[in-house]
Order: sequence, then C-alpha cells, then structure tokens
Amino acid sequence: MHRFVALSLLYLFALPGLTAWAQVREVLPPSGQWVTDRADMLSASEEQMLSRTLAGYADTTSTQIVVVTLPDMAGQDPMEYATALGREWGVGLQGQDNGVVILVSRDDRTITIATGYGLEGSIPDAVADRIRRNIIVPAFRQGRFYDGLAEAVDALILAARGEYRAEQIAERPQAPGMSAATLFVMLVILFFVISALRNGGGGKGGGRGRKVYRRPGLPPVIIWGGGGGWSGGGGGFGGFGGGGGGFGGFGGGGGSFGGGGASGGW
Amino acid sequence: MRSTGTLLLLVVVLLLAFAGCAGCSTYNNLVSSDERVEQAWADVETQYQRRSDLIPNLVNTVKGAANFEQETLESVTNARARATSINLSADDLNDPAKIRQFQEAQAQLSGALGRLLAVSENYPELRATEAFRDLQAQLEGTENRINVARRDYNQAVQEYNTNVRRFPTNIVAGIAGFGRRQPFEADPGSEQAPTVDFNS
Repeated sequence: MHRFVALSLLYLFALPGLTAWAQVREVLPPSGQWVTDRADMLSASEEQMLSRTLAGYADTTSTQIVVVTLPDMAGQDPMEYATALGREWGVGLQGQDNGVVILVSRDDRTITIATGYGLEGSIPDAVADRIRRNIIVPAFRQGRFYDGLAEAVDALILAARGEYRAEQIAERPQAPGMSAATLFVMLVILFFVISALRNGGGGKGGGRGRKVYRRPGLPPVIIWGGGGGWSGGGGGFGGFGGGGGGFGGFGGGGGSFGGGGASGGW
Repeated sequence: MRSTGTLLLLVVVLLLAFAGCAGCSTYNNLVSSDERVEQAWADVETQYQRRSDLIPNLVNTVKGAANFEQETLESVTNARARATSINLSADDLNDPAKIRQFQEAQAQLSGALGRLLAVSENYPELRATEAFRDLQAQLEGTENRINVARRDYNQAVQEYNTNVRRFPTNIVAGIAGFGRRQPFEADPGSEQAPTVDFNS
C-alpha cells in the first residue's frame, strides 16, 4: 500500500519533469578552456596569451568570448555549428546572453563569429563581418593566425564595450577585505615561517605544555601542544608550486545564441 | 469493519486528491509548453520581419549600381509586399493551410532575394562596396536567425504536440481544449540560406 502510494506519487509528479530538451546537433563537448585549439593553429604560448586576454575580459566585463578551431567542419554549416556550440557551452551569462564564439575551420578555411542575443545590438552582423573580412582574413592569409585572432578579439571587445560595463560593476561588487585565496596564502606563509624557525630551533621539540624558546637575535617562538609534532617540516605542499599568474578556465554562464554573427572564407 | 471502511474512504480521498493535483500540474505544463510555442512563433515572425526590413535598404543600394536589372528588383519588392501581408496570430498556428501560406510567401521572397544576389555577381564594382558587403552580412545573418528561430519553433511544437497526445495528458488536453500545433515543413526555398553564399 505504502509502496503503491509512493510509486504513484513518483509517477504523477516526477514524470512531467523528465521531458528532456533534446539538442539538434552534436558539438564539441565543453573544453573548459577559453581557447580550444583542435586544429593546432596556435602555439602553446599563443594559446596562453589569448586565453589570458579572454579570461581577463570576462572578469572585468562579464562578456565571454571563446575561440575554437577545428580541423574541418565535416560538412556542417559553420554558422549553425557555432550557434549550437554557443548554446551548448552556455557562452555568456544567462539572461544577458553576452557571449561570442569565434570558430575557425582550418581545412575549409572558414571563419565564423557567432554573437549571443545580448550582443546583437553592439556587434551587429555587419560589424562582425567587417571584423572577419578586414581583420582576420588579411592576417590569416599571411599565416598569422594568432595575430588575426588576437586583433579580432580586441576589435570585438571594443565593439561590445559599454554595453554591460556599468551593470557589471553594480552586479559584482568586489568582496571587501581578504578573499579566501589571500587568507590561504597567508596561512601557508605563516606555516613555512613557523616551521623554518622551529627547524632553526634545532628539533628540541617534545615535552608538554607551552614552551618559549628564546635565541639571541630571534623573536621568541611559542609552541602550543606537545609531542614534537613540527619536526620534519617542508615537503607536503607539492601541488601548490608554480606560483602566481593563474587565470580561471572557461565555465559556461548559460548564455544563448540565435544565429547572429557572420561567417565566411579566408 | 468500521476501520476498514475508514481506511477505504481515506484511500479514495487520497486518490482523488492525487488525481486533482496531477490534473492541475498537467494542465499547467500544457499551458507553459503552449506559451513556449507562442514565444517561439513570435521569434520566427520577428526574424522574418527583420529580413523584410532590410530589403528596402538592399534595393536602394543595388539601384545605385549602374543599370541593375529592373525585373529582379521588382520581383523582390513584390515578394516582400506579399510576404508582409500575411500575418498569423497565435490561433492560426493550429491551421496547416495558414502556416503553409505563410511559409510559401516567405519562400518566394527567399527565392527572389537569392536571384537578386546571384545577379549581383555580374556587378563586381557593386559587390566591392562596403555598403553592399554589410548588407550581405546582415542578410545572411538574418537567414541564419530565421533558421534558428524556425528550428526552435518546431522543437517547441514537437514538445507541445507530444504532450497533448500522450496519455494521460491527452485527457486533460481534451477537456481543456488544447489542439495540435502545426510545425514548419522543410521547404526548398528558404531552408537553405545559400542564397547568400559569397566567397569574399
């Protein structure tokens, strides 16, 4: 009886929610990168530089631009593909739809700039096409793929500028005071300082309760607890190295695309 | 004996309550999927409208070119007039004939535009101007948007129609008078946006 009721409840309420939204077309699964260079048109450092620009731009304005290169389109329409990819990956923020997909197909020699719904005003198709034919095409014809893409990104940023900036400042206030990351770094530094001092103290640890070691010329080191716990020091923090300069990968914001943008050969 | 009767009553009441809840939620689902269809249709119309808004500009730009074929220009203008004269309301979406009529008019316009762009191949100095290239880009973008909007509409319709026909939703749909909606059929004229195929 209980099971019957439970089952019918499940059936009645859960089922309508299960109707999935089937996607029309298979696109590349989200790579989590700003630059997805499947066609190997960019060097690793170029990829890095472009990604940094795009991550920085998304950070300051919330407008997301992703660059995808493919070896070929396998007979698919590049504009449809770019639109589907933009939707699938959720490029741009939900509700603002401020995303751009730059899709390059190496062997078909096509360049596509797909703009999200929210950018159709600031980057109309005519502008997207001018960026394609006047900036990307000349550079690509000389084999300067990075230059073409980087300059196109700059131009897109210029075109999109102003549209979301003010709103963005209001929307994402910087957290005052210390962020979690800063706090973590400080804790790590504190740990190393303490363990270094402690090691310098010469492993005299042990004994119980509070001890104050005083050495000439050094501040007193106070150790709580007992049992020689700190010895050994160092090591352990392998994963942390490499320090500084990191930027976040691309995570979909849920933006949507309606077929805006421009596409053409080079 | 008495307790069995009470239990039975309880079960019946519970079942009725479930049925009521299920009916309401089914109805609400139908309403929202119907809303999605109408929204998707509005998008389709917006995109077609956008295209016909571009045409006067295109015609003017092309007219500027030395002795452009008058016939081609006229057929575009006429097809545009015909296409814009057909407007469908949400209620017309149940009517296959009206959808077809709309679709045919738009397909004719697509064909006329395609011819115009093909003819423009013969005017290289026209094609070289930034104004014409911008218009081409806009037209192409509009064709893409139309394709996307049509596909979204068809998907919304398909979802809705499935809802309406599936058991037990169909009972609620029958009572509340939700009919089937009409999807777009692929037509040779406007499906392919090749009309605007440039190798610039």
